[in-house]
Amino acid sequence: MRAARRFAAVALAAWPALGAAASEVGDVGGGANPVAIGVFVVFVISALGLAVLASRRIRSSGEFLDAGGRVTALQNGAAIAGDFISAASFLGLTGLIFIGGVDGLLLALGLIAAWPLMLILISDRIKRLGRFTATDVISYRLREKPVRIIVALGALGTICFYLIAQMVGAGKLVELLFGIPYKITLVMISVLVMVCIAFGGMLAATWIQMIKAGLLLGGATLMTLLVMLRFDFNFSAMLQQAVEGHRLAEDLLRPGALFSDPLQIMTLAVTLCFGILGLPHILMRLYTVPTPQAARRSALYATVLMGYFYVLTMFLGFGTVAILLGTPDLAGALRVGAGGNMAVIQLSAVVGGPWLLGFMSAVAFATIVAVITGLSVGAAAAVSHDLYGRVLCSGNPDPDRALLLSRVTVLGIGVIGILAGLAFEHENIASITILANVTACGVIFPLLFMAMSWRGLTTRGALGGGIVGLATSLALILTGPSFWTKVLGFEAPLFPYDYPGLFAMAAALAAIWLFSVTDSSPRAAVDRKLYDKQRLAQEFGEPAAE
Amino acid sequence: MASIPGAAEAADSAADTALQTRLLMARRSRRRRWFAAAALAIYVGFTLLMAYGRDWFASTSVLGGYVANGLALYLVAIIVLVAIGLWYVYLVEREERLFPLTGMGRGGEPDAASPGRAASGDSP
Repeated sequence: MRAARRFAAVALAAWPALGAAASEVGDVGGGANPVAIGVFVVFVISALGLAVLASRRIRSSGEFLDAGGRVTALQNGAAIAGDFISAASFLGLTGLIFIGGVDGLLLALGLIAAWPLMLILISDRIKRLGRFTATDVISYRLREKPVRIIVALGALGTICFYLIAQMVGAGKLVELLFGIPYKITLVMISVLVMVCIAFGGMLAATWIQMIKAGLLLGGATLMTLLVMLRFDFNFSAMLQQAVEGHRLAEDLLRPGALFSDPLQIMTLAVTLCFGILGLPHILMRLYTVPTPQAARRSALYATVLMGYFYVLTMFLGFGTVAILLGTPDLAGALRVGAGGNMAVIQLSAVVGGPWLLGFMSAVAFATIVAVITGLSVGAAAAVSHDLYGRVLCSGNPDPDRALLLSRVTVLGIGVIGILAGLAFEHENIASITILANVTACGVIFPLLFMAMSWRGLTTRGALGGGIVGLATSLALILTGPSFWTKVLGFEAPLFPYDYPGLFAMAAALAAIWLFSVTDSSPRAAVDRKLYDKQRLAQEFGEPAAE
Repeated sequence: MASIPGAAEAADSAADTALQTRLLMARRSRRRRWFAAAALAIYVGFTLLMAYGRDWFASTSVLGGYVANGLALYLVAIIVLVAIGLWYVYLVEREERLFPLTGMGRGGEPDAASPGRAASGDSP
């Protein structure tokens, strides 16, 4: 009975958005795909049901933020994959291959190459040193309050930039897929995420992300099989048709169509790979398992699942070119959207008919929801644990208030998502996405890496490096092509590269080193001395209390 | 001066444990460096090839047909990256079984004061 009442409460809270969505879908009439609507409704009901189930297990802020540390390694690995593989991967990468050929693979390999590094350098060590966030690790041996403030602000900035990009992308995507107007889409997604996460916390996010990973991997596998079946599983024949149908012809298989400058390629590669290692909402997933060993294993499972997905991406990317462009009847009626983002959705209609189109459209929606749930929990952790619990309350927060604050933060993030989605509707979301990646690459990763690996790091070095990394990231993005020319309208950018992660990270590392080695304060001596204790703890865990 | 029975053995045992801990830490650091360098080298190599080896990347000299060398390399790179992860976990877990020094970490504990906080006097 209690569960039924909770479900009724949750459903009631989400009802205005769902009602609006249903009515809009109905209005679209022939434009809407009944399978898409069916899968979409099942997904929404499942998400709400899971939120109810999860809410019964949450009694504290800790359980809200890390699911009580009871998630298994395999579940967490699947959830990480679900959290990480965003619409940018699923739709964007195949679209890039559709537009520019093999250059899209540079991004795909960057996304997967980060995961063995996450496994080797970070996974079990941050679980040993921290409790909820990467900030726990960075501030482990340093003066906690100032370091926590700057890292938490960097994390919140990254999450907000990422959220804006997801919301704007989601609004456009769902408008295109389901015919639901942009503004209603924003409200619908925000309300769904707010209700699910405010009630169910990290546990609900985990379940939603696992379901999404299953749907996405299952759908992508089915599509790949259907595509390859058309060519009798002959990859060479598929590529031949792709080359013959594409405007680039043989150059489809030659790098350089999208990224021609070698330095541009390098900085893009660094931004992608090391930006991922600093994404706060991904890092905090490693705390949801009970032991450091399970954290390591979950990173391994995530690596395997994502490796599999990015192999499928290559087949799907070239499959879109071969089938959509290589079939003369189709080429004239293509609607692949800006950047080719809808190419893979179009492909699903061609190889699997309206059923597969509907299914994959709903998967795209689930993908967005899963990513935003992760971002919401990440923001809740930064506010309730880092800023309120550790900075304001000096590590001794009121548990009820901390839980309430977590939930309020989720609601706040939902509202911010709606407002930012409205404000940035007509902006170039690429620059916002870059901002998120570059901030993670230029602020959080250098601090995390140096905190775990370098004895010489001091509080002053961490603060100096964080500030320099953040300032460099912002300055280079603001003067780069994405903002300076596309948003502000100037003729030529002051800084020539779109992805300045290489430069921001180098500046942050240099500042960390410089401020640390020149620091001869008494506190610096303590920071360096505590490294031995930290090293033991990060390798073997804290000694058991007597 | 009378000696405490077992004290010498206990001191030896503590010294052994400390030595074993230091050796394990050194071995783990070395392994971590090598494995991370290997994973990074694969990505850097692929990136450099895309930047400076475009002719080889686009040629079909390895598999023939229309399968460009770069595509084959992409598949191999992903397989090797996953294999690096698997191998690393296998080695670490085997070591943890042989030398069960590993603690359980802070996971599940309440918000204990970190050493940095304790040293700075920020503690409540």
